[in-house]
Amino acid sequence: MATNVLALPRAAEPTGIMSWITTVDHKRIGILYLVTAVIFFIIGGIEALIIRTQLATPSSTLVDPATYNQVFTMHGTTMVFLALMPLNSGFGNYFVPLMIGARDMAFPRLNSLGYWLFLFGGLLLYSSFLIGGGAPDAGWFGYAPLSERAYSPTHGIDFWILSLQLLGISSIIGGLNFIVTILNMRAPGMTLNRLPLFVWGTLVTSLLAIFAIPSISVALFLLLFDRTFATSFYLPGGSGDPLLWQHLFWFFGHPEVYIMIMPSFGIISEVLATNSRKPIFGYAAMAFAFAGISFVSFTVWAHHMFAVGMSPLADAIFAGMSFVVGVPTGIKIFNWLGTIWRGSLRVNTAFLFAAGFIGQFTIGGLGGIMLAVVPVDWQITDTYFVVGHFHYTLFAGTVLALFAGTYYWFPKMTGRFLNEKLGQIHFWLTMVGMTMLFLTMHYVGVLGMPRRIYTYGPNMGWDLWNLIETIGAFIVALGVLFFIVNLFKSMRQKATATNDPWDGQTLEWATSSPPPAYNFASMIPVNSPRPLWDAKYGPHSEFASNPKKIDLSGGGNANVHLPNPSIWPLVLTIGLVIIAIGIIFGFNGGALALDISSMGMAVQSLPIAFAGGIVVFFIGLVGWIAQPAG
Amino acid sequence: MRLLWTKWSRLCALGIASLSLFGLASCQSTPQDILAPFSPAAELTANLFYFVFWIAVIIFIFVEGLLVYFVIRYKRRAENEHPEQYHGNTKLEITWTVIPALILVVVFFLTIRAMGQVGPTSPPGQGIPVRVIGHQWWWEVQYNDGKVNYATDLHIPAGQVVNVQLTSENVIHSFWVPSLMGKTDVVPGYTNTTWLYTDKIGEYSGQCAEFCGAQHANMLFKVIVQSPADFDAWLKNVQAPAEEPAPGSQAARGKEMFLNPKNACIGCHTVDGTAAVGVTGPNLTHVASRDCIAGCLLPFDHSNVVKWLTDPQAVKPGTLMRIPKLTPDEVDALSAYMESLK
Repeated sequence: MATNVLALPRAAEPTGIMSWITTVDHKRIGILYLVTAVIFFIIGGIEALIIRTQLATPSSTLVDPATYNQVFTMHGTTMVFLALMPLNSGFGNYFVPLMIGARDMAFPRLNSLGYWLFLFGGLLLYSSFLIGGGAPDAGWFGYAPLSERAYSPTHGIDFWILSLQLLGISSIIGGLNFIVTILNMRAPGMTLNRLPLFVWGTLVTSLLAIFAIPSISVALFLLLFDRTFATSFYLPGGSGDPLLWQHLFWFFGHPEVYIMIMPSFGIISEVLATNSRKPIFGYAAMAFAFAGISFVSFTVWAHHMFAVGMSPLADAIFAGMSFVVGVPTGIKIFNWLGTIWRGSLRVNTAFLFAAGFIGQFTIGGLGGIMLAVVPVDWQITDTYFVVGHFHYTLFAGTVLALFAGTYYWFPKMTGRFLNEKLGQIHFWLTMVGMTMLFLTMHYVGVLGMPRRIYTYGPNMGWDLWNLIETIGAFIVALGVLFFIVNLFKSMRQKATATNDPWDGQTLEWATSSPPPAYNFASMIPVNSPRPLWDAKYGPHSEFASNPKKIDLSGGGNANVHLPNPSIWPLVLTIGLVIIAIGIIFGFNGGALALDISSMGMAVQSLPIAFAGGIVVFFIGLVGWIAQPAG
Repeated sequence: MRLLWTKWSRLCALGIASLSLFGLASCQSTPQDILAPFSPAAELTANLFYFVFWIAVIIFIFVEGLLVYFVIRYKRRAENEHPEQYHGNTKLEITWTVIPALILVVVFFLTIRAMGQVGPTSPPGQGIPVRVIGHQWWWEVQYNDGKVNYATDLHIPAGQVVNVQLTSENVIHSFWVPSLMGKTDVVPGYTNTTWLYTDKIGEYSGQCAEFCGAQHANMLFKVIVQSPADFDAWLKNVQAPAEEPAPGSQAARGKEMFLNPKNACIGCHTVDGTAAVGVTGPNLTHVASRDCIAGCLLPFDHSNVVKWLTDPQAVKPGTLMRIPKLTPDEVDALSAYMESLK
């Protein structure tokens, strides 16, 4: 290509704090997602330790019940919405464009908006501790009518509702962005049946997000109306229905589980294949299993509600669909085993976490089958058996995969390796700790310990097991501490990682570590799901003992047109946050119509916050529209 | 009483085979163990649990065995090792799709069959109707169409079906007696039904299983299974009006305090035959015949009644029970009255 005289200088990496605030580079946004989500993960972990310390001994008075309920509500909400989902988004942002050979996401400024909504949604949620009169206290599932104002009079739930709305918008636009990116911006030759499985996982998660999240958005708005305008969507006295909330919530809530874990399935597939020097076993079956499990996940929501008094026929149908989930899950487990079978396994920390994932996630899957057996569910639902079960899917599933992904991709993102020794300590502490913690939960659930209780009597036979769980929790926390130390330690070391340190198969390894702002100067041909492997070892994937050296430098600074940085997504987000605060404090439990004095206050505070927020929002919108996309 | 020795021997036998920890803990009583059933329904459920559990264990051992074997066997020995590039194997893939599917079909069939046998909506017959109402945070129990109004202890006769109607005054609760029956949620605006049946006389602990606010943890109750004769005698006693304390006694003074609107008792509580007709708190007409108070957190005895009346918030932080600060002397009088309500 001839030298482009109109080449923009933005191909060079800008620095400084403003460059991060205004960035629209998918890699930087990915890093912002990851760093923010790790901080929220640590906060959620501290909340978990408070819960576990409280439950370590019977009749404990470390925290009072009101505080305990806030802490476990925040633990769940934080881990789901502020840690696991954004960690997946972070890896997705960073690696999906790289893996499909794209320059960036399809909508870079929308991508930036997604991040800011996530950050400010999280900050809004946590500000409830300070300015809401207490954090939300009705559980992450917020069952009505307990979440109605009559039973939760502080502003905690209002903060919860509006921050989840912001996070929901963030997830929906993020999902749309991923879908458009993956469908439209693939490199030549990267057909859908050659997508790396991590990209498949992200695509499926994004589809789930855009169909599932509207359900909770609607549910939350109805709850907001109940709380602020004294409607009665969920109140039986006013012809509302408490079960409506549960249906709307779980129609979102069950796919949400797969939103959190699909990218993890992808990460595990990448890590295992690369470290086995083999292709993923049964690629097509895996992709179909991803898609199939996601579709089925929309048909099983009421298995969270077997005890609410649905008809036996409904129970039977939802149980049957839940068993169906077991089949694609089994396919995945066996395909992963098939991938390492007769491989040449590099047993590093990333591989250990991936193997640990297979071993531990299996327990999560089997526990799920037990819970789908309706009469058994009537006994063990809402006990610690369930808590143990879903931690085996979300911790043993998602979190282990995210650790595997971090050890695997850290060299690509930073040019530096994470320390293997610290990594292995992290791995073994995690394995031992989580087994003590979550396997024991299954047992104490069988012994009849309900979930969400702030204390229990000494005569229930649960003390020893709870103590073991708490010790396990602190061992897991110690492992995370090793991980954090490892991150900082590694960042202070020299960048020694090559472009392709693990003998990779996919395109993210076909550029420098870390990649330049424009990702790829030139693209290698894509003829299979393993383009880099083909380029190194020949088109038929036959192993050559002397892999080809591939030069992708493109002569250093390529003249690539990149989008403009933009402050407007941040401005728009701030406008939305001010509107949210205006809604929370502007109206109060329908008191507007009843109480003159509170009406006076409402009328004063409402226009200031609410109108101010709308003004800021429109400034952001106009600025965004007026700014050339670049 | 609970047949503790059965439980002990069963769990201790397990303990020999497993860790010594298990042995240690198994000698503790576990009154809500779902695998220590005391009714046909709970027993069937426990057996189903074991059946699925052992299938799960077999699959688990198979997967973990392969995993550990592969990791050890195929660990990279040399940097230039070149494994064969298997992409898949159709026969294997069909096998591990079909076999789990068949297992799940069997489990599904067993599930459906068991649902018909132990489902809350399929009682084995019509028997004694009982209404159980969930409050924040205690259980109200009504017999005879609400003519008998009791709390916290659910008395039932052995060997008879008891049809339980479940309603809630406020938020969602869940009615659960692990030794006898699985959960049924108690949803405001709905009347859910479940049933209890056992021929084993004893006391079985139950607990609210759906998060319902500050004191969810202490929303406890007991199912007291009595011989039909004992049950009838009990029912007869609680149908009688409250006992009148002897004039001039400590209890009589307590009654005066109880009825004094200043102390706010009668706003929420009822004692049949007196001016106390409040309905938001437990009916106290026969409170002294109950096993426990404060949502079944405390056994009914003098020291606990005193403790509760002195400072309910200290016993159950967040409880809706409100009482003015009383002197120890006043507490004694009031508790004497409570203890007289046999």
